[in-house]
Amino acid sequence: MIQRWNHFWFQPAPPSDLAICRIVFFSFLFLRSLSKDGTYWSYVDPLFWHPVGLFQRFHLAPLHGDIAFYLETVWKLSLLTSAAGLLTRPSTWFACGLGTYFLGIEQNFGSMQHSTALVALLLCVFAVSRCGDALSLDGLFNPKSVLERDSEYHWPLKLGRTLLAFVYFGAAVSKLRYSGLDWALSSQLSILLQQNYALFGENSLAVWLSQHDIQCRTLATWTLATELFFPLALFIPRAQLPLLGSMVAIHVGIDYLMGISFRVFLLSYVFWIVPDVRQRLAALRAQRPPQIENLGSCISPRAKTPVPKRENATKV
Amino acid sequence: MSKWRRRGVQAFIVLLIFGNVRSIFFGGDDWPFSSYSMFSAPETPQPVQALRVVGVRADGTETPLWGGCSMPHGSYRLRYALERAYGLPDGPNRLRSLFRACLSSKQIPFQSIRLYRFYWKLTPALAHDRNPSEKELLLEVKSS
Repeated sequence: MIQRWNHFWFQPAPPSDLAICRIVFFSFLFLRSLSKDGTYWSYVDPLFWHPVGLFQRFHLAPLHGDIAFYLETVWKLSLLTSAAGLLTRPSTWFACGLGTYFLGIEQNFGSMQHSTALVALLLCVFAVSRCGDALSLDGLFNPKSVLERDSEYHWPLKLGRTLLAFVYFGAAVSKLRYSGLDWALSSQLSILLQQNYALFGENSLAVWLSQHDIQCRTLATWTLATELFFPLALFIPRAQLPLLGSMVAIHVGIDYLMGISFRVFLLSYVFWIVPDVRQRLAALRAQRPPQIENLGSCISPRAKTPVPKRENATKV
Repeated sequence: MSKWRRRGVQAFIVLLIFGNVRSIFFGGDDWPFSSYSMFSAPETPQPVQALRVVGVRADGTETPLWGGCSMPHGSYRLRYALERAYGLPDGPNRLRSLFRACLSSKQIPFQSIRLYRFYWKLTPALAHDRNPSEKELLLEVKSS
């Protein structure tokens, strides 16, 4: 059991995968933060204040507007320096601490947005990890700190993936708990589409779709099944592509029909895509026939030349 | 990775897994952990209802407000925030004071602010006409 646990989390991996994840994640979050105003919530009337989670537990309250402005600026800067890998350790800690506040503060006014919760957890993962060793300004100044292949660069990727799997699995469990299989087999999705259109009116196609019962039930069953079985992607590499593709399609559908954007949520997909693409590229490189040097030989150079060993890729 | 570092990382992993498992199976929402229960409750095809704040211009036209006036912004968030605030014992009075302060500060170009409860009947006709089938005026504050 312990061996399996260690094998799952602590395999050696190259530092570049985690570094690319860091660059993509923090760059996107930085760009997104530019269009957000975290100080808005400092001016919302306390009538609407309803603390949840960490804010309730630690009695956190909205900051004064001016303080929020300065801290938000520091947060945005820390996202940028984290992406560049400059003073990565303190940068990612600042990004995590302040991000928890600025991503979380709005959750205490009315309803909770689930997509930012995952981002806050991923900020913690980056803060604890050694994500700044490679492809970073820190690495340029101190190249000796980069380890060749180490489990330090593997567990954060696995944890990022596991957290995403928890999100989908949790959503499936909630549906089964509160509505049972009726969520998929009754007209639940049809009613949801109509309600959402009445309230927020994103796309009249939603009302058209809601009139087609079989299609709605099929979509609901597909959604529930994908969410429920998504954790399999953690253990079965072949299941990754269909499950991730299916989830992306579901997100696009929800965004288009209901106007609920999960774009920030899709950030967590870097933990799946980056190592996978790197492994595929390595496999392709290993399969490429070597350059033919002896043109006079009638024997296939492919047979004579030893096939280069495939990189000791981490199976995920 | 040193032995102590690995132990620390393992404790961190266990903490995040425990937080998620607890929320999903036992705890409900405990931000940033969550049971991700969005849209999971059973729905019935009853008329759907929501509180809406509208600003009224001098010519009587009504414009929905999705934020501002010291209210949370965003259609989803505001819907739940208003519902909760209005349900508080002194909620209606505090909302009245809020709207009065907003009108007197001249932040918005309205003669009055109204709080409605809108009702929609869920029928195929909704695709062509999104106007609520019924609306109930809960409170109105006029600029002095």
